[in-house]
Amino acid sequence: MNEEVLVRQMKEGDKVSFDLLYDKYKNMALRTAYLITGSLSDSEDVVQDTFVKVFLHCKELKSDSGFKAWMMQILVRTAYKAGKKKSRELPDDEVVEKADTKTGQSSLEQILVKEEAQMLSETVRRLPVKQRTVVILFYYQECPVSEIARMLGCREGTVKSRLHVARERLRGMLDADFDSVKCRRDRILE
Amino acid sequence: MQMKYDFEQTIKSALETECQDITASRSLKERIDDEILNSQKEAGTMKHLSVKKLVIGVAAACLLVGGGAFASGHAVSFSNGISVWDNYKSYDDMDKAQEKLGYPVDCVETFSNGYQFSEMSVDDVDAWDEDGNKAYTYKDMSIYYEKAGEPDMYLTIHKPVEAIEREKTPDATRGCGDVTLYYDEYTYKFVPLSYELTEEDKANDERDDYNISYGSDEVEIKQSKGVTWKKDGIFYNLAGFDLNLSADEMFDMAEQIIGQE
Repeated sequence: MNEEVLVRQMKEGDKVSFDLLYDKYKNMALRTAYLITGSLSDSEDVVQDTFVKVFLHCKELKSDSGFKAWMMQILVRTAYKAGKKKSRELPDDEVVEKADTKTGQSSLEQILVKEEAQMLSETVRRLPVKQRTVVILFYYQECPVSEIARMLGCREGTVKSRLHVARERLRGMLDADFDSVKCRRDRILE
Repeated sequence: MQMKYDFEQTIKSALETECQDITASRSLKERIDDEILNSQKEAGTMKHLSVKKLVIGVAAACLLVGGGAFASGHAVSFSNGISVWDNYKSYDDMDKAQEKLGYPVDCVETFSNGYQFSEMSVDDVDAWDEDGNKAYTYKDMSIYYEKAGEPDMYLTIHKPVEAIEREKTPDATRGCGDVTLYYDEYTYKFVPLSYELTEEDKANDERDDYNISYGSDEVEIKQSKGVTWKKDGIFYNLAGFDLNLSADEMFDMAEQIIGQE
């Protein structure tokens, strides 16, 4: 069904329409929240808060076609607050949990690619939450700078500045980290 | 040269890889549904009520019992059922309204100070307990009075289901035959569901003459004045927000309803 129709029906109190919208965006929302908070349990809390707010406040959404951007704005701000409250280190048990979900890869090459990806994500996670949020929205969500600015309630220039600083930090961290990973990789593949 | 790979694409791919196995669980949806249900119970149907109906549905109930304290400890909040909102536009329909209510009541069409009957309704009011469960439902008659250039007034009438007692010391009292009239003033702060209480709000909320009521579209602060009394087992509450009336003037109006003036 057309998303605008679902949004309109949800605004009239139709719970089934809300359920369908939730099904459409639940995984994307959860993954984005996870990347920002760095915690599975926190990201579930963020998604819960977000969709409860979506249902209870959907009448405040002015344009039915703007549902995704509006929902994402709530999600990002909720995740941002959660990210600021919590320590940025990923708890050990969740690292293990994440690692377990990635087993079952058949080739050594795939395992190493995933290891590199995990290392990169860890690097992103070590960024301050303001820069991390911008990086996730820009690279993962592929949001334009103007949309990120609206979501975070700041100027486009601020987003660009945070992106620039984040890139520089990432480059610096990745230069160091990749040296060690690539050396290890080359040794294993020899 | 250290960065031989596509830096931008590498970041994107890494982030996608990092979370691609994460999926929303069934229990997450159940938690969301539970919280929505609880929020709706807490808010009742207030969100969709006008300030006028809020007076009838919430403030009136609280004013009526002096802060909403019930000796038996069951009901803690109230909300009107919109589906049964059925207005009578003519005072000639009083017999029909009383038949729907189930018992005769004292009332007048016009007060000596110029307030006149506007409309009335008989509604089912839901009473909720502390756990968000519906405790019981009772019928409540609401009569609106209006006067040009003045705020509306409301007379609400119902038979109490529970034993009730006042928490707040009345601001004034007057005897009227065998009936005691109680005059109370309250401050109501109506706030949206998303509103977060300030420290000042929390301090005010401890006062017995201050109420914070969730469910309005915007923050509104209103002063209520009301006269309450009990006669023949029926509770009456004549009240309104931001009224330009003194306690004595409101007592006089109550006496006109009772028929003792």
